[in-house]
Amino acid sequence: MTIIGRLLRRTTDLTLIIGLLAVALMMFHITIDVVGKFAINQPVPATIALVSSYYMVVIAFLPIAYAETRNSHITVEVLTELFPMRAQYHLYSWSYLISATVYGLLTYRTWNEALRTQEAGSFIMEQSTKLLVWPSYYLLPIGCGLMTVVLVYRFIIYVTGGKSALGEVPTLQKAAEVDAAKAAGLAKES
Amino acid sequence: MSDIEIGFTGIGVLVTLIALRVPIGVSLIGVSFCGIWAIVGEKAAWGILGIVPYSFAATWQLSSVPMFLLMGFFCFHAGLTKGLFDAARVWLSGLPGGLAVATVFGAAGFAAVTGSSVACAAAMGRIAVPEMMRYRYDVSLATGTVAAAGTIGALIPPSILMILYGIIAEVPISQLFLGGVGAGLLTAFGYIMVITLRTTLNPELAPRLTEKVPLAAKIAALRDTWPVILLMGCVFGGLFGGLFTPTEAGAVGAFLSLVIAGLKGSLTMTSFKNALLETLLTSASLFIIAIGASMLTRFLAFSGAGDYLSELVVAIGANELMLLVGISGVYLILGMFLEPLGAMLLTLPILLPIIATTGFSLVWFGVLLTKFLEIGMITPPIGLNVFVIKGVVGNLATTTTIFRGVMWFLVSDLIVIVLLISFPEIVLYLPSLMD
Amino acid sequence: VTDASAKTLKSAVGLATSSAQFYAHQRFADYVKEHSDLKIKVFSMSLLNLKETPPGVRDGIADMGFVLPPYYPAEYAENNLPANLSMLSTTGRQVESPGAAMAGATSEYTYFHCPECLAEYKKQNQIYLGTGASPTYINLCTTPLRSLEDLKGKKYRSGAANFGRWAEHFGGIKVSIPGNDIYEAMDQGVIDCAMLSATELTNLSLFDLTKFVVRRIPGGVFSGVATINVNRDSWQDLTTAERKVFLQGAARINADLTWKYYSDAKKNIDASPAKGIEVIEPGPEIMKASGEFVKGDVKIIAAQFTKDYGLKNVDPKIAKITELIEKWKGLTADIADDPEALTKLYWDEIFSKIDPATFGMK
Ligand code: NA
Ligand code: NA
Repeated sequence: MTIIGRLLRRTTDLTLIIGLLAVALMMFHITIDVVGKFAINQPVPATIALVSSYYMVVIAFLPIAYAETRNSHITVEVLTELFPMRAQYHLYSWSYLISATVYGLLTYRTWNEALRTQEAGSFIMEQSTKLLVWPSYYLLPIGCGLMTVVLVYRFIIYVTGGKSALGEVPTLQKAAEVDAAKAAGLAKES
Repeated sequence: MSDIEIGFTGIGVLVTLIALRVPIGVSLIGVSFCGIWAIVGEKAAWGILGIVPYSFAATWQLSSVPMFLLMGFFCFHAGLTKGLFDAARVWLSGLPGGLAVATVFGAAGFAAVTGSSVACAAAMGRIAVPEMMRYRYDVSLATGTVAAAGTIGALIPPSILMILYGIIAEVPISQLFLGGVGAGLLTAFGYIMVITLRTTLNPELAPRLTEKVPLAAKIAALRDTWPVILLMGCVFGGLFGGLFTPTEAGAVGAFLSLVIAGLKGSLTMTSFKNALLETLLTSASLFIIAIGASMLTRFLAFSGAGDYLSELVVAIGANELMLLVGISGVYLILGMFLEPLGAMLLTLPILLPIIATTGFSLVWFGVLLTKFLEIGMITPPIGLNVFVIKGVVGNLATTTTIFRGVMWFLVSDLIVIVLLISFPEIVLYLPSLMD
Repeated sequence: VTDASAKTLKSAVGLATSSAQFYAHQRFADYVKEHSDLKIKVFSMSLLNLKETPPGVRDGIADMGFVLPPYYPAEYAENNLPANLSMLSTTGRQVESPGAAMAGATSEYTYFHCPECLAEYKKQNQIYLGTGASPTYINLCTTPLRSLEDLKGKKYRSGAANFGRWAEHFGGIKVSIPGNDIYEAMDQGVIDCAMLSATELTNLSLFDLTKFVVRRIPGGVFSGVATINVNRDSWQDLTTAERKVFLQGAARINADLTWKYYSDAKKNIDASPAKGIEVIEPGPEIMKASGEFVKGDVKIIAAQFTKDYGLKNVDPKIAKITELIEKWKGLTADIADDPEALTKLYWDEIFSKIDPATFGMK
């Protein structure tokens, strides 16, 4: 099991590096375009097209799975934080299944959309510059698909109780600590 | 079930899922997909799922969000803002909650360079929260302050929301911008009052500094404020000098903060990488929610909920006061679930003609509407500004903690709404000078 | 039958309710309601935005919508060719409403001379119901353009390649800015002029900022428009009688859109002097140079459509479109300001020739 976990870790790390590059490049690219426009009247061709069709799509979809391994996806705990730790643990783990379903649907649908744009050879024209955009449609099924796999993996870990190697939900650790403390308490009593 | 019943059922399911700690983006996408399937059918549901994620993310204007985030993260990691807050600390040390007050001032200033409240909250959040934590401010007060203060970003011009309203309602955008200044400053004043009152009544929220700072030291503290003042000066100068648009300002601002950090010698490879990483994670977790919120707008459009609520208002609105009360109710409710643009698009087609038949100024209504929509940015369960701050502060605070801190500012916002309705001159005075 | 009569169809317009497009779609809905048992609800912006409408109509999110082929040049390559030649409608013989001519020429070309165009729409699961067009593209400026010398060095916001080439031809700088950013870009001096139709003085609130309206240049109209494409499955679910009503409505909606757009622009230009905006008529020197640019530019367009868009036999296609534009300039010359006459013309010349029993059924 941990082999799969380590493989997933490697893959999400790779998507992270591409995402980091996209953020940095986007900043430099827009800045160079602005400076070019006002200093030498020479903007960088297709800046708007590249920013919107590539940098933004990378930033929005590629790091979804990495964010999951870091527990960065945003939730509201207003009700659940009143539950006992074990109940929270079970609830969180079952919510992986809901998330996996939704991301699975997204993966399937955006994959079909990507195939269709590739077949059409989708491009956009910014002024006289032609920019192929169909490759960027594949970033959606890649990002969402990886997320689905990570979620399914986490659910399997929950069911089998195996070791994850992918980062855990905080409650899992806390629940384990509570269990350990209880066990220690029981041992003392007996 | 009728379409409208499916719409309200969907909202119920959404609230339940979110309360059970299903990730917000997942809840929004799942409910919208099933709801559209139920109302229109399978084809339309798959269609929305295939079209909206790409079309939402792949937009030029949205690019200002990660870029303003990056600017805030650079400023924080390279210690550019520390000097400014040290100065604010020694100069405002007499005030209760001085750093939080300084944060509101900072947001009002930052609002003049950014058009979106998310960008404003993001940048201020990364700059101000850690400084407040350093001086042992209450987590809920610190995070609530930045989430709320971010909303000033869309009230003080430039403002993306006002531009869109101006286009839809055919009202001069320059008039809306001028009108927004009054509402924005009043909002900031209200927030400062909230902070002062809360920290006076409960000094533990923001430990007061006991040290007596001599004037010489106070003046010395100003010396380290140059990085931020230089940064702000360049961004303002470029923006008003016609060198770049507000959408481009984020990227240029991020680049400038990088350069200034280099000049100051406080940029390490690690802080550079951390700034990129935090930008990426915050953006990705925010975008998936915004994509879901955009899908929810389509679901509610299909259900006719926007029309239903708007018509309800018109039916109740026997007189102008009742009409305004009804409109306030609708936007406070819609604002809980929808992102501002969605709420505006769903309701304006019906409400605008009604407003036009009353004696109300459309400029005043546009500013009031912006204020309502911005309140929606911080009300639970879907409060985008709160989520931004959550993304920015990580494990330091739960969303619940931030929402709790925001509650107090909502009280002030409601008073601001009452004032804007009772005294339209607050909004209309500046635009009237233009004629 | 009872099921069909109870059904409400959805129409998506990714623009504000105050737009000419929404006005025309609402009139179409009213016309269909009056002449059949069908109901149409027109959605403004909340259902699909402009970029989402083409795939949205394809997938049946809306039953019909305002589709702009230029957003998807690969998917609608053939249909983008006439749109790129719109500058031909404002050179040579000058007519009052070049949009009315361009709309007629594009519709006739698409239906009767370009089977590839209809095949593209079919592939996108859509039924084409004609084109409406904008009024002339002009320059809305913060600085005057009176002579060829004035044109040099200015920053022009250009929304399409041919306008960008026009700006560069005259020594200007083309700037790409999306529609929603134009207001602020102009406010802050990022651009000196926006190449748009005069309708945008109100639609984008540019009355606030514009100091000079420079008529007739760069010229051309926006005609990359499929005014009301219908989802193919929704179309085939209609009865023959209902499809006939749709075709009659199509003549009307394209006339309505073009006329409303044209008359709004005219109103704005007429209102400009009272708002302190100077309306500049470019002299013969500029008009001659601009006409020469257009002639040369047709060759660039031909090369681009062969190379980038992958079209075949581009030269005969351009020749046909050019011929049709001149024909329609003649047909529409005297009825620019008469939407009823325009409706009748589009019906007689185009939509009456389409068979509602068979069109788009297989
Ligand atoms: Na602002
Ligand atoms: Na909310």
